[in-house]
Order: sequence, then C-alpha cells, then structure tokens
Amino acid sequence: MFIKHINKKIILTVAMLSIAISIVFVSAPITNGVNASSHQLPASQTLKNQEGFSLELTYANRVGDFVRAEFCYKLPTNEDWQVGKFGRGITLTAGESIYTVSHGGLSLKESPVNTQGEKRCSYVDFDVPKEQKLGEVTITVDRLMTSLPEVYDCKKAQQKLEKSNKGKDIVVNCKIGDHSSGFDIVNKPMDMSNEKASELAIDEGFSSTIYGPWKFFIKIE
Amino acid sequence: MNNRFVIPTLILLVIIIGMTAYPVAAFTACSGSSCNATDPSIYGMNGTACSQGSPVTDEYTTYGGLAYVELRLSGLCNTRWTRTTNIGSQAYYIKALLKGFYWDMGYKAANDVIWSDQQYSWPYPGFNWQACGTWSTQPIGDGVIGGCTN
Repeated sequence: MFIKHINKKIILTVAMLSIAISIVFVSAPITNGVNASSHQLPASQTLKNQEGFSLELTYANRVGDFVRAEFCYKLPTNEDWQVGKFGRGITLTAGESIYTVSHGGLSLKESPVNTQGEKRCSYVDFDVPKEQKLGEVTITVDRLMTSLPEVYDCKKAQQKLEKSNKGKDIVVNCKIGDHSSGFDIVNKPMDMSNEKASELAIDEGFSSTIYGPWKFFIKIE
Repeated sequence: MNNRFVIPTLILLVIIIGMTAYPVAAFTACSGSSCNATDPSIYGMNGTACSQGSPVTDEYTTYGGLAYVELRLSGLCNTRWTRTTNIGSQAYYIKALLKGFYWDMGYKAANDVIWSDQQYSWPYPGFNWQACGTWSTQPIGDGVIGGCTN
C-alpha cells in the first residue's frame, strides 16, 4: 500500500518534470550559435557564442517594406550595449539575397538604464521589398558592442588597447572639438592598414565588443 | 628684479603651466529645462556631464551608408540629443539634427562624431523624438534633413 503510494507520487513527479522540461526546450532552445540546427524553426530562439554569451531572437516579422526582428540579452556591464556596429554586422539572408539594417533601437522606451545583468531588448529593421518571398531565412549577428562615448577618452582607450591581443600595438591621439570628437592613429603595426587600425581602435579601445556570430534560422511568411 | 615680483610671478607661472598640462573637465550644472540648448558633453548634474550619465542610444538609422545617426538619451539628465558618426573612409561634412530643435554640422574625418545641443524630455510626453543626419562633400545648410529615426 505504502510502496504503491510512493510509486504513484514518483510517477506523477517524473511526468510533471518531463512536461516542464519539454515546454522549456520547445519554447526557447539554447544551442551553440555556430552549430544551430536549421531543421527547427521556432519563433523564439536563444543561441550562445563560443564564450557562452546568450542572444535571444524573440521574433522576426514582415511589416510592410521591412522585416523587424527583436533581440534580447542581459547587459554584460553597466554600459550602453547594442546589437551590431553602426547598424552594420546584422544581416538577413533569403536565398541569394542579403539584406542589411536601416533602422534600429530599444524596444522599451521607458527609463532605459545601463545596469549589468538587466535584460535589454532591441529591434532592427531590414529593408526587404514586399515582393521578396522569404520562407526560411538566416539572421546573422556578428557582434554586440557598446556605443561610443561623445567625448573620446584616449587614456582609457589606450589602456584597453594595451590589454587587447588585436590592438596592443596601436597608439591613438584624440581630437576634441566643439560638439565633436575624433581620433588619429599615431602608431600601428607596419603590415596593418590605417582603416584596420581605426576599426580595432574603436572595437577594442573606445568601445567594448563581444564577438559572435549568432546565426538564427527562422521561417518568415 | 625685485623679490616682491619674482615670487608671485613664479607662482602664477606654475599655476598656468599646471592648468595647461592637466586640463580639468569643466562641467556646468544644469537640471530640467535649464539643460535646453546646451552641449550634453559640458552641461550636467552632480559633476557629471549628461553625455556621461548613463547615456543610451534610443534609436538609430543609417543614411547613404556614410552617416550613422543616433537619438541619444541621458538617464542622468533625461535629455535627448542627436549624434552623427562619419562611418565612411574619408572626411565629409556631417550633420546632426534633433528634429524641431537644434543641429550642428562640421567637416569631419572618418570615425569622427558630431552632436547637437540637448533638450529636456519631460515636457513632451508622447512626443516623437527624431534624430536626423546626413553627409555631404559640401557644407550642409539649415533646411537639409537627411535620414531620420522612426
């Protein structure tokens, strides 16, 4: 009698746990970004990069002449993190066509804060003509990075560059003007172009970057 | 030279040299609507410029592949302004316009940024804040808007 009672309890618990686990995995599968499966196309997907940073694609829908996609993530520091760089580094691939982002922003407009660990959701709009049939598409995010400061801080940037593998031989000089700022590359490795040095100065010095890629396979009607 | 003049002159020189060698950021206090029409990198609260007080890029757009235009929002001051970055590979005139309020324009090198004055957000509940910006090989006039955020 007692054993029967225990068994019933165990069976019931195992059954409930199985249902709960199934719901969690079906609604938000967490996979490695590089090895994400193209056979499952759920509305919401969470992928991890090589370092384990999670990025969630909550939806991607057609809205007139564009496709809007929303990404959510936990702020890794108390800084203003964004998906992509200057609106670049986020693409939607449909067959042979690759579409880039024209607009983006925060999903929640009320009191946005830069608090480490807080969830942030951002949307992006891809310019996709109405006549373009979509179906199964790939949305790729190559990085998350912090927005640039208004006034470039060369001392801080230089310290970060010196600690960075990619940018350790780059030396920058800041130009601060009225309502404006910029920087010059003062020194760089001989075999590095000025454009590449500037790119690294931003990615590794003036901003912080978490590299992907995160590749989402999704179906858009 | 008389010692009465030498010592004060030396002290003055040391102060001037010191100020030149270690420029101190000069923040000017503002709050609420007194921040209107001011530079967010200079005006702020509690010794912190509005642009350093938990700023976020609320929305952004790109224009012609060469201008990255951001609507910036200061969590500290509750002010908004527009910032435009030259994302091309050479110098252009770029413009940052907070639609309906202020704009700034200049000839800027690749990766340089330019921003408008700021506006306190509170008196405009539901207002559609728009950041607009553009680039050109020629100076950009008052009426030119370029691309805007939604």
